[in-house]
Amino acid sequence: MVSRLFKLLIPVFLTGMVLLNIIPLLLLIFLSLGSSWMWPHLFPGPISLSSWKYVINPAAGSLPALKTSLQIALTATLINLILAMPAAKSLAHYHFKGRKACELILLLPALIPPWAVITGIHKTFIYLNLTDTMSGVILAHLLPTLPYMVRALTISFASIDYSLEEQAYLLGGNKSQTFFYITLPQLLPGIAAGSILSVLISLSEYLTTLIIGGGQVLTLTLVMFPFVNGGNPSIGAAYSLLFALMALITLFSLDTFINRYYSENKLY
Amino acid sequence: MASITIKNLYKYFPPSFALQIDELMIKEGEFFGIIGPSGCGKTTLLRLITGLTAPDRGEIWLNGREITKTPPEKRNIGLIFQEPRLFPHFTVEENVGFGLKMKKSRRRDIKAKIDEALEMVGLTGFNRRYPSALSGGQKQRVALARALVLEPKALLMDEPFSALDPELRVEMRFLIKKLQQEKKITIIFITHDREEAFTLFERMAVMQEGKILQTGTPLHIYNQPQNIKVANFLGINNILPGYIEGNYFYTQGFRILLGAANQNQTAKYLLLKPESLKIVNGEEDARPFLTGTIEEITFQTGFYHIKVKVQSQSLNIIQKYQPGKNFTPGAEVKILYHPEEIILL
Amino acid sequence: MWPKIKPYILILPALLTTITLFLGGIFGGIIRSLSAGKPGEISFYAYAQIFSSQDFWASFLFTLRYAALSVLIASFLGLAIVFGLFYVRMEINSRLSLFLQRLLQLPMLFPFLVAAYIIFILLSPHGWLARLLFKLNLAGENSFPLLVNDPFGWGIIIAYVFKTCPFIILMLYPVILKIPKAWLEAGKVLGISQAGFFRKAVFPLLIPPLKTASFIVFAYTFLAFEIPYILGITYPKAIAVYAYQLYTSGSLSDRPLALAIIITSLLLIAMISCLVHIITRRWGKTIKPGGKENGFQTV
Ligand SMILES: Nc1ncnc2c1ncn2[C@@H]1O[C@H](COP(=O)(O)OP(=O)(O)O)[C@@H](O)[C@H]1O
Ligand SMILES: [Mg+2]
Repeated sequence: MVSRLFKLLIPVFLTGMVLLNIIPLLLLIFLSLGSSWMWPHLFPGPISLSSWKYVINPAAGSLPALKTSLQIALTATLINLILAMPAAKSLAHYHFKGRKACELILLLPALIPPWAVITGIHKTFIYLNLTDTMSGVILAHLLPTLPYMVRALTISFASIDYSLEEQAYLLGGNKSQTFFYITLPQLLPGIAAGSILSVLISLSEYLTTLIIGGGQVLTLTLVMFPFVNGGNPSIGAAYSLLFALMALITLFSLDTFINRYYSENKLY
Repeated sequence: MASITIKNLYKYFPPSFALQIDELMIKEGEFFGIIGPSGCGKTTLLRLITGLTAPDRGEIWLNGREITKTPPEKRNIGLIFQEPRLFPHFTVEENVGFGLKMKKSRRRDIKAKIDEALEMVGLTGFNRRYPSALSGGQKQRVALARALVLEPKALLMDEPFSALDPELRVEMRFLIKKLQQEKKITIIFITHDREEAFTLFERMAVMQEGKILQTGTPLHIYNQPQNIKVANFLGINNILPGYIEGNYFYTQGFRILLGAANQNQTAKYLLLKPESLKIVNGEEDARPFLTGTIEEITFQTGFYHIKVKVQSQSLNIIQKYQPGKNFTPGAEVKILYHPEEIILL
Repeated sequence: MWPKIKPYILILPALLTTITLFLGGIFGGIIRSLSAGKPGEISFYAYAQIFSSQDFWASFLFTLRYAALSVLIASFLGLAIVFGLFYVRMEINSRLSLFLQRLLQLPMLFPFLVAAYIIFILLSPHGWLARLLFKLNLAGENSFPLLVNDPFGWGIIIAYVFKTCPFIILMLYPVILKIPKAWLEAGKVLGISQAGFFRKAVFPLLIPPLKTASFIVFAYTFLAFEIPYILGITYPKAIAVYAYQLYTSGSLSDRPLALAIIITSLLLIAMISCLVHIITRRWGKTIKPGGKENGFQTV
């Protein structure tokens, strides 16, 4: 009896949850395509592309903002990769004094919204002329993103099958060949996961960018903020979708890029 | 193909394992075996020879050249493990061609060599398969092809077939024996399977606790084991303690007649090979015999393994199955033995 | 010598970056929060100010309430969803389960501010839900309850649940992937239902990642800015909003105050987290007496 109820309830519950995730997306799409949303209509009035036109319009500055967002996110991710690769290898393979402490320090920043920490070294940023610059913002974005990259890569390194590296040496592969052909392919899923998280977090960042960028470095989140905070709902919706689209396309190309790399580095 | 010489090789693994090999020579083109119980250091020895593990001291020579400090990728010694260790993200041909590619061989040569190697191991046409789509035996064949394609100076095999099922194991033994004879490859082959040792090896070493106890042809070692451990490991499991007096060896409760060659020694143990003993039900025979009671009988592929109690000791006897000849537990039997086949230690 | 220091050298670049930015930030914050007095002197003025300020404590309690509630709700919801996904994986189709998991990950594509915006257009007094209920004659034009910019913080809680639940699922789902079907079948042979199996064998495995995930969510939520800024009210303000507005108030003398609020909040989060950890450690032990393996053996 109970189990039959269960069998019925689970699909209903899951469907409900999925709907709760999809309805907002649909609503955003409808909203962005309507000109006005009068009470008590469920859907906005006549279809119009005016919000999208506004968003795309050069005067709104959203395209440069999009570019800035991507530049920051991708650069930060690249730096993260370079920093996290050796660190993750160290954490995964060596037993050294203070390993736990190092890991804790590296992961701790994921717990605190970066703006709250950045305020503490804001002065140093000013002193080093890093405020109001993209490099400053990129540096600040390392704070919330690096932990995720370190975590993803550490898991990846820990699950590497080292017997395969040995095998490669036995077959005459030198260190770099072995890394390139045998180790790296095993790390790629971790690299993909870490990069995706790093890009997503950086793209979403708002307050840190505002504090360090001083309003001079305009990312998409900064440009859209006034519209989602009580501005024109239709434009806010268009911006939200533009953001989701940007994130989706970036993640998708990252995934394809990594997969392509993976298959192009096959032997033949 | 080349000879391998090991001198004073020593490797210590804390807390308690030490491998110590004073001298070992493997001749060019030889099928050499290493046999010994699990944990005695067989794998460690192979890893030392390939360079995957560095020795604490000692020398390894390959073909008159010392390679103790040469990194594994420069030794060109093939090593096949118990598990095939194929690269899962490469196809069969990419796996086999890996070593050639690393050496930057010409593309066309690579292709031809891959096909040749795959043919050798009987996997023609499997080029584009991924390892996940191969059976255990096929994977091990790919591993073999991958090692052979590099024409290694020596091929080391670490219990390569022990994970396969018995039929396949026999087939693979056949294959490796054939390849070795055709190509005159120097092979060092590890096993803890006596049967495998006797079918494959030209010469072998018996190892225990990090040391080599004896080297020689399998038959020679079987007939003249140097000590009880070696004998026991080779399956000579009737080991009777006692002393010699006159023509007889006296052990607990009975005595055994010695052959002419065996007298006047100070041996402490007498060894009887289980298949050299013959059980008779009472019919007369001129040979010397013991009497005992059958305790236990098991039947294994054409042979009876019989335990017979003689006085206070048990003897293990292997008898060929013969129709019409039956053994029953509890029966009183005569055990015939050859004084000339006795081993004294 | 080289092998001894190699791990340190490998970890150094990342570690230095984090130490500079993170520990540098926190120590910088501490130092600046202590610099409210004369230049060069340590002063606890800022701390005295905020400890005696009703506004701070009101903000703090408000923030604590919505952070704790949203993490609780998101955890329970996440656990329920993961159970559903587990059921689908075991009984229906593992691909479908994976696909649903992906769909449920959708909100991760949006930044916090869009999550806030979505909750706003859904739940505001003239939002979509209000219109739907009105159309269905279930609510009048003005009888829809206040769910955004409300004094309790429901809008904030709902927005956080919407945004963080996918993260919790993301942390828990891999555990489900590792459970072989054979386990469940073994359980069935012994007459244990899926629910019983989940509770006895799967749930103990989910506890450690669930604790980690909810800890991250709680700590992060506490000082995150966008959602309470968009969905909150003017009094009491969320801690993040309160601190940030002091920080940018134009008067530089307010900055030590802002930093003191941040540092105090960090300390309080750390204390609360430790407390919860100690309590749930005992609670976890009564459920799972042994190691991971035991989870299965109790079946
Ligand atoms: N890397 C290692 N570190 C420490 N001890 C090891 C290592 N490799 C092998 N040993 C120890 O050396 C002994 C011999 O191992 P091995 O050579 O694998 O034996 P075999 O192959 O004969 O079974 C074992 O006691 C094993 O525990
Ligand atoms: Mg071994």
